[in-house]
Amino acid sequence: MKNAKNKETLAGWLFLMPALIIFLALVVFAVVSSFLLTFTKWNFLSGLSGIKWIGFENFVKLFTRDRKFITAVRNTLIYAVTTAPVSIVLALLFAYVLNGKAYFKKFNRMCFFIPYISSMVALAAVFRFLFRSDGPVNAILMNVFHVAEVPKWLNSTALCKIPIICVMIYAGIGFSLIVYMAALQNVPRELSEAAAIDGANSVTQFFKITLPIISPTTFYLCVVRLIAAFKAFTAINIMGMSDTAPSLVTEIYRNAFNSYNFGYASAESWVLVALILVITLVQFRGQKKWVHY
Amino acid sequence: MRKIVPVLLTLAMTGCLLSACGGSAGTATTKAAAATTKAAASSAAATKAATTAAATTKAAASTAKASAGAGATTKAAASGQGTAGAVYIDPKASSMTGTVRFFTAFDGKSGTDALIKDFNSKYPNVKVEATTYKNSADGNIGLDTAMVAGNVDVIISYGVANTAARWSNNLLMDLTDKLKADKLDLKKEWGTDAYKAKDGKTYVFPSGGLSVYIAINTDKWKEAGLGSIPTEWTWDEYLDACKKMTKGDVCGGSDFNQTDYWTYSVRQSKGKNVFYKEDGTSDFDNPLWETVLQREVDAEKSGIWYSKAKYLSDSTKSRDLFLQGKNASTVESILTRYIVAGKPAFKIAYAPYPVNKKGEKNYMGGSIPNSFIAVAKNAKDPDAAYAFAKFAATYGNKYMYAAGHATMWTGVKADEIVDVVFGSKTDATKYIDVDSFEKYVVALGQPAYSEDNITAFTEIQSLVDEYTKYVLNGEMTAKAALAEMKKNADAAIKEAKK
Repeated sequence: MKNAKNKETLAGWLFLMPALIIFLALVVFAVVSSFLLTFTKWNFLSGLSGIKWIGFENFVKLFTRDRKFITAVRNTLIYAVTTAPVSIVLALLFAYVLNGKAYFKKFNRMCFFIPYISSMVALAAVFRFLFRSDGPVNAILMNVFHVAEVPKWLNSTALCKIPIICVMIYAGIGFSLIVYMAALQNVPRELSEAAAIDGANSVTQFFKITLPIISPTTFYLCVVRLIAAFKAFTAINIMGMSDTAPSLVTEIYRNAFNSYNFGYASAESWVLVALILVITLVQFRGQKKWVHY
Repeated sequence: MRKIVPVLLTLAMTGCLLSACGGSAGTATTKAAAATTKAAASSAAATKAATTAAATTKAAASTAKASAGAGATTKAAASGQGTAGAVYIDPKASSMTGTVRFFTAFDGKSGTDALIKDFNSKYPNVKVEATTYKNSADGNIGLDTAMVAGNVDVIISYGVANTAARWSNNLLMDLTDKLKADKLDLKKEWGTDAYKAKDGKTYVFPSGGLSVYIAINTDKWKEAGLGSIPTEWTWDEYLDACKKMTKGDVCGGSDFNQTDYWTYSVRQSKGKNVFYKEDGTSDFDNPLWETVLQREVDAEKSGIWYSKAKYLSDSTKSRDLFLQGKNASTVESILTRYIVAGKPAFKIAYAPYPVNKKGEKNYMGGSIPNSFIAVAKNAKDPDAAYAFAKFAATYGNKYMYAAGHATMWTGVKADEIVDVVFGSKTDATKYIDVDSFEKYVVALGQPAYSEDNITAFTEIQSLVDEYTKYVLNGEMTAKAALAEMKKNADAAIKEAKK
């Protein structure tokens, strides 16, 4: 009997082996290597023999001497704080409208979802065109709002984040919308009907009934969208803002693949991991106060 | 059966994984390199070769040896096809065999096909497979990966920093003994021996250059009543001419569309190591920097120069606006490649890059070293690869002009260049003033800027780009920007020397 159990266990392991090997090779090995590289100075062109152990020097440089890293952290937080909440709120609003009585529901749902499944490269290129100095946005400002001196959206360090935030929100609404629509359809109608009988208007029903019931969905989207915002790269890279409005990921990319400084880039990536971890933990802690299961 | 299946699956998966890590890496990296070459090499990216690069800090900082004479690279006047006694074509060329995998940023139509054809007329049994890569940060990563994987034999490497990174990391073949055996003296052949590794060895032919000049719309010039085009002028004189040519929507002039091109005016005066003082610290507290940058800002503000901020935000090119007649003149370096296709409605004349002070030596008069031909250390057929590299750096170097670049080889003939680019002198005269083209674009025998110190070059270049944008946007004054650049550049140099 014991023999049979051992054979069963062995069979189980053997079935797991293919996926496990891939996981170990491509994920675990990469993560461990990346962690070890944070304590080294390595130009990958020099081969494995070029790896030099330098201890915490990379982290010291990051926090004390790297001006661009501090700028990138600040920008990343700005992207996260603006894009995640705005895209979630807009998605909830559109989902609520589409869940009720609306014409062309399926068509509208498709229109909102298409940006999410579209290539971010294409979206970024389109938004870059929109915000050109002679693009449609400035044309509207000049001709409709009679603005004398139109903003230099793509050049100004103060304003260049706006096109990036716009494209990230535009691309992020679709996923949140679909998730919210599913959540809204699970809100029991009887509660709304009972509330209506008791004299609650639609706004009160929304804030007192619908929102609390879909709060787990909101929490899930907050976590997921924030993590996505922290990983902002494509839009910034394609719009050519890696120098003017860098994010942490563009800085990691620049140090790894432009400067070939893999050790330093690994240190930056682990700082990003720590930042996302801390923020996610804070969210999990805070959810006890407002998420109703 | 139930127990055999997982075992087989495991073995299959492991086999696939190991094979993916091993033999097909070359294919993968070749594909990666090839994938990055699909886009045509943009002129801005090609010109940025000297400035955008993988950083090697300490290693590259002391790799280039100072040339024996003055910092300037001087090309001897072309008097014929090379030096007597030097071996440009191997005696056994007709019987040499092999395959050469050649990576360049210039596509077939930009001189590569003509180069290979000319090479094969001397080496009929050597097959050359050309691959175009994009000379951008991503393109260079692809190329470096391909080199590490052993899929590259000969490269044209753009920019000192990129090239120094390759020789510092042992990717390139040592050419020292081969050059000696062929009696090829770097200074005699290419005007400089500055581009050597820390160990004093030579890993590259310093054969490619860029000449920077003023391209002029002759119709606009005549309309403004400016008389004959000067053979030398100061910036004040040039900007005065731009003022006279500015009319309606047409700007009298423009800088090249790359952020850092204004620094060439500082290079024109300094002649060597533009970012550095003699003591190795950064030079941004030199008053010349503020003068030059402020001059560009003032020219754009007054409307006589097209806004560089607009070029950058709209991704437009100075050559396009010039060829369309929207700018009456422009600072250019790679215009030649686009003239025939651009079909300008006017004739183009050329003038030298202006100087900061009247009578001072113009180190932007000649071609500045910009690209280097090298053989990969792990070339499949080293002899064939070296033979091709040598040919491309000498007799074949004239084809660089088809790509809008210039040659550093002293054996080139000026009249050959016109034929390479336009087909014949007769065809050329439809588009350009040939005399000024030969004087200021081909620019043989003129003093030229050079570099032998590239400490923290990439970081400093990045600072120049960053702060230039602040100044052009009006977010900082030139003085404030240069003060911060000085502080940050010195910190970068100190960091690189650790």
